[in-house]
Amino acid sequence: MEVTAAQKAGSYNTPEVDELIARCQSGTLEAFDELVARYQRFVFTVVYQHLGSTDEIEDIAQEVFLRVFKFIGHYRGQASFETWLYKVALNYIRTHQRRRSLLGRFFLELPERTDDSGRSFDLIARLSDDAKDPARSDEYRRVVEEIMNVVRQLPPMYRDVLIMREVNELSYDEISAILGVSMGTVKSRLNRAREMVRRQVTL
Amino acid sequence: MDCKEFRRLIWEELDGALEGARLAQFSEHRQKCAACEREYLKQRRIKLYMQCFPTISGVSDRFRRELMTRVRNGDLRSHYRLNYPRITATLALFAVIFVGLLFAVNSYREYMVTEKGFIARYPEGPEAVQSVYLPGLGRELGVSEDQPVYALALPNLRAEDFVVKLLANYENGEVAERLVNRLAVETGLLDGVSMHPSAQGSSGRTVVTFPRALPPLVIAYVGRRDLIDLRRFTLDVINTYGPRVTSSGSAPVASLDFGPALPINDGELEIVDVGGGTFNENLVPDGVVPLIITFKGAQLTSAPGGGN
Repeated sequence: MEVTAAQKAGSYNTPEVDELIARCQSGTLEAFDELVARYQRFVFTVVYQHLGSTDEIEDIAQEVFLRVFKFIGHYRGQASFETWLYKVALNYIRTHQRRRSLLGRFFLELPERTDDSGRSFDLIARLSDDAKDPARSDEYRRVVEEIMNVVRQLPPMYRDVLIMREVNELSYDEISAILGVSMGTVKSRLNRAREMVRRQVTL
Repeated sequence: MDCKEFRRLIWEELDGALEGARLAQFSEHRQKCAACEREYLKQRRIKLYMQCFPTISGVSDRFRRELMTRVRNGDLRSHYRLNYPRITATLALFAVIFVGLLFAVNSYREYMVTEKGFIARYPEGPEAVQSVYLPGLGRELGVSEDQPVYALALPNLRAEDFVVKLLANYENGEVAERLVNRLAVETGLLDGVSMHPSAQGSSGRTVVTFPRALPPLVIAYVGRRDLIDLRRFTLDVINTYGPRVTSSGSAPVASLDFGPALPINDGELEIVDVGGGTFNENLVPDGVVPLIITFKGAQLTSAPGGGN
């Protein structure tokens, strides 16, 4: 396993992030505000990619950050803060999906949005180099849309690992830490997910 | 490198995990095999397209302001709330279903016994009940004076009904064959008794024919396990017949009521009521113990020299 400079120095984060986390752990609200500003785009992206829709991103992201605020004292620096944050976000997304299931909708009163003054974020497509030509961008969007649909149809255990690896480009170590499963399990789920996508996508 | 191995290694190559001689073999195969090259390009395109999934940019300050307002106000709880009326209604529904199932099971058992699922045919009239005379119960039982005697008194239940209930429960699998042997076969209650399906064509009914009236008192010899099973069976008998008023107008409760003419109460022997609160399975001695079962119509007579 490759050892990063941060690990050699005894931390997975930059000194600046470590200092910010320490201030948050001591209860400084300004530090938490700064932390949110720093990681809100990351959390929004993770939520969007795993949820597959933009409808409730803000509510979910808010709940994720509230959990971070409550439990940041549990962060011991055994992985990078982004890994820990990813884990918190993914756990909340799963909770949210359970609550949105038929049974959850029946037994829970769903929150009502108090502010409907529009989105507080932008959704952008990342064009690959060969799709920046306008003539090809429609075809590019169609293919990306097709692959996204296929990925969203995958069972959660395969979809999560595929998004982490291929979309967010996490390492096997990080995926293993976030999901709490062995590296072998990560690899086998990834192979299975890739095979399912390969079979269903027509290129 | 063959095509099968090549395709197995495509994702390793795309992950950048293939190097050295393996990578060279991989590249060589790509150049030689057009089908594998197409498959490789397809998977590479999938990977590249996945890296281009839309992402989020430009989260406005409004989100942070709302979040920090909640944090400052201490509003950290999730906005999801349990819907208590629905939860209560669901629990009530399950309770109703549960009670309904219990009722259905109990009804089935009653049907098997009291609604003529098992039909008892036995002689009616005064001849049905014979008086019982025990010339010397202590001698007949052959018990030593330091051994308790177990008794089960069912003063409002006929022996025939007891046997029918026993057979019905045996048919349901609720009573072991061993207990049937001890209580009905070895005591002679089943002598000459026959069982056959009802001739009236009612499906599932069984006619139990008693060729003669059964004695209202029997003495069985049972072990610890039998007594425990019998106690459970007795509670079931009470449960089945208890709420129902019999033709004689009283419920067939189990009680220890041998009256003043009890022949074996000589001050030394202890009588333990199997169906009552005095029964303690931990105190049952090992081996076989005598058990007196009395039914409706039992007339206990003092044994010569017995009683007080």
